[in-house]
Amino acid sequence: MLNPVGFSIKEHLQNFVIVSVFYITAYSLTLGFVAPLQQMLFSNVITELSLLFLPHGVRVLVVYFFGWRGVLYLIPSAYLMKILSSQAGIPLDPWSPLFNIIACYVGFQLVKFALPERFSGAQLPKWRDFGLVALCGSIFNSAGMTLLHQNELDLFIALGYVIGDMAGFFVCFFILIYAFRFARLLAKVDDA
Amino acid sequence: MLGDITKIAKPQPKTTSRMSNLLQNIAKLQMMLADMEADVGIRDIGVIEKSVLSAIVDLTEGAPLASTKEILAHPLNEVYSRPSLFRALKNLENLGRITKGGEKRGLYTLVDEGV
Repeated sequence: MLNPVGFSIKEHLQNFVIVSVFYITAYSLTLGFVAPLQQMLFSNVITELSLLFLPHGVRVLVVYFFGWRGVLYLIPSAYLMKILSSQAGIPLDPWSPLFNIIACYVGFQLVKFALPERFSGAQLPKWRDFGLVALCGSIFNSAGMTLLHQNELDLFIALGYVIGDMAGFFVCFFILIYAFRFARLLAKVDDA
Repeated sequence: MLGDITKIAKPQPKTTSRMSNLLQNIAKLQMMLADMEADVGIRDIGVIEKSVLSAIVDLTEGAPLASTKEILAHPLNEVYSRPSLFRALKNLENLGRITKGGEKRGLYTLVDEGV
């Protein structure tokens, strides 16, 4: 059964599950491992700010591969993780999950508009282009998050969000590199 | 005219297009990550490339350059076919791990940062 945009419900469900699994995994790593470590090492940094926010890498990939549908795929898991964050003692503004995703999507659209030849589909975008999307999305995100949580634009905290998002983006991509390597290694062992 | 085209064009099976969408995305992601690996300098090299590189390390201990003949005859490379070894040499050269040296053809040396 195909819907008006040409995707079957099964395909939407498949994409939604894949996106949710990756987002929840990345967020759980941030919440369960990075956040406590950050509190130990940098106790003066506010809890809402993560200096290694892995889900940003997932968000960038999702908006690239699925466009505006990616925003819809991300919303449920983003709100689920917001609830879990509050349970873990990191209260977030109710609008922040939605704002994070939309900021990333706007960043992607801006970079796509500025560099149409890189995202036209004729050639594969380079990882640096994804870095640019991550940076652009992160700037919007940090401005919004600072306003939501501090009620004023604190440049120092905004810079912290950008650093956290970009560090998370790079680490997320490195995790993917080694995950693919591990998958190839497993395939070789299977063949042998 | 348009009618002719629509008659000729065969409808694609739904399952193939769905699967290819997912596979296309994975392939794109892998290509982009491979590009990142190359740029960052952590690109993994294959088993044959590692063997050829080790052979060159061994051969260049006593001399500044290793010849293709010596590399092919090295005990580490005995098990591989000649085309595979030539391909590995080419890959290593493209990755900047080895470089041609000397005035004669077929002489290789290690690139410092590749060691």
